[in-house]
Amino acid sequence: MPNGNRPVPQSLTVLIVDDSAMMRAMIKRVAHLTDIPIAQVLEAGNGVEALQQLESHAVDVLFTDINMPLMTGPELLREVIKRQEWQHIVRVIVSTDGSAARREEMAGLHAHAYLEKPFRPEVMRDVLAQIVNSGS
Amino acid sequence: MSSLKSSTAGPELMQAVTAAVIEVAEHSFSMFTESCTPRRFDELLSRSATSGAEWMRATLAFKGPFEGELTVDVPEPLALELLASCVGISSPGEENLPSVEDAVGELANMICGTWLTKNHGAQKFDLKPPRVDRVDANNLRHLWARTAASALLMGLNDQPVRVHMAVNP
Repeated sequence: MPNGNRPVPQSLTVLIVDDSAMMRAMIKRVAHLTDIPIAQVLEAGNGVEALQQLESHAVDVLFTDINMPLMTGPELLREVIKRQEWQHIVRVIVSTDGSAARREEMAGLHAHAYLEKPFRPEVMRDVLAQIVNSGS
Repeated sequence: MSSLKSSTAGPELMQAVTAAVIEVAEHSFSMFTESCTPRRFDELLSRSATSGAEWMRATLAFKGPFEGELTVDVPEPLALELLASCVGISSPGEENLPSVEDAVGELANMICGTWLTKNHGAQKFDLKPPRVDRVDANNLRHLWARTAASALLMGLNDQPVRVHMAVNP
């Protein structure tokens, strides 16, 4: 899993971007249920809010939905790609849309993983474990 | 989206939507699911936890190679269970807590997305944010009358859920 040149920290700062407070809470809960050390969980309701969080926090992992108001997931990823200092951020798509066309689009935007909703907690644990292990 | 034709909801569509409801309910919400006969559905409706309770209706439209609209009706006690199963018990003072409306909206979102991915996975669709309204239990029969033949009657943890998919090819 590519993480740029920056080593992955022992304890992750995670940003969850979803217009559904329910999904943000679900992802947050599942992330805490894993044995992966998480320092901080930040939340954003759309891509615009996510950019504000990215400007003020050192984020290691970004979980983002696709369809959101104001700024969508793909639009957010395009902004992340433009910034050199954000290249280390691991980008995980969390969406109900698991279509081949959508997966291809997200891979083109340098998404590292794709979690299709509904997902089991162990799937997210495996994604986070892969991120941590890739930096050790 | 009144131009949508629920008459296109044939047995294959209903079977596919049923499978999506089961997958979402069991995987994301850890709930026991059952397909109901009208008689069994009425039995669940009359249970004490559901009887007289306010209901919540999530409506979600999608667009792509074809368009459609999914409607999911759940009683509020079940909406609260959906919320609790995902979020758990929250700490006092915790910010950004989701509501029961969020829970019902996300249920509809996941059912629709799962159905589209499993059955039309090669194509790309855009799902609109779900709209969630509260519905008085006394108005349910009236609301359901127009789509009686094409609705899915299901039970989640022994509580009734009604799902309707309308597509416009």
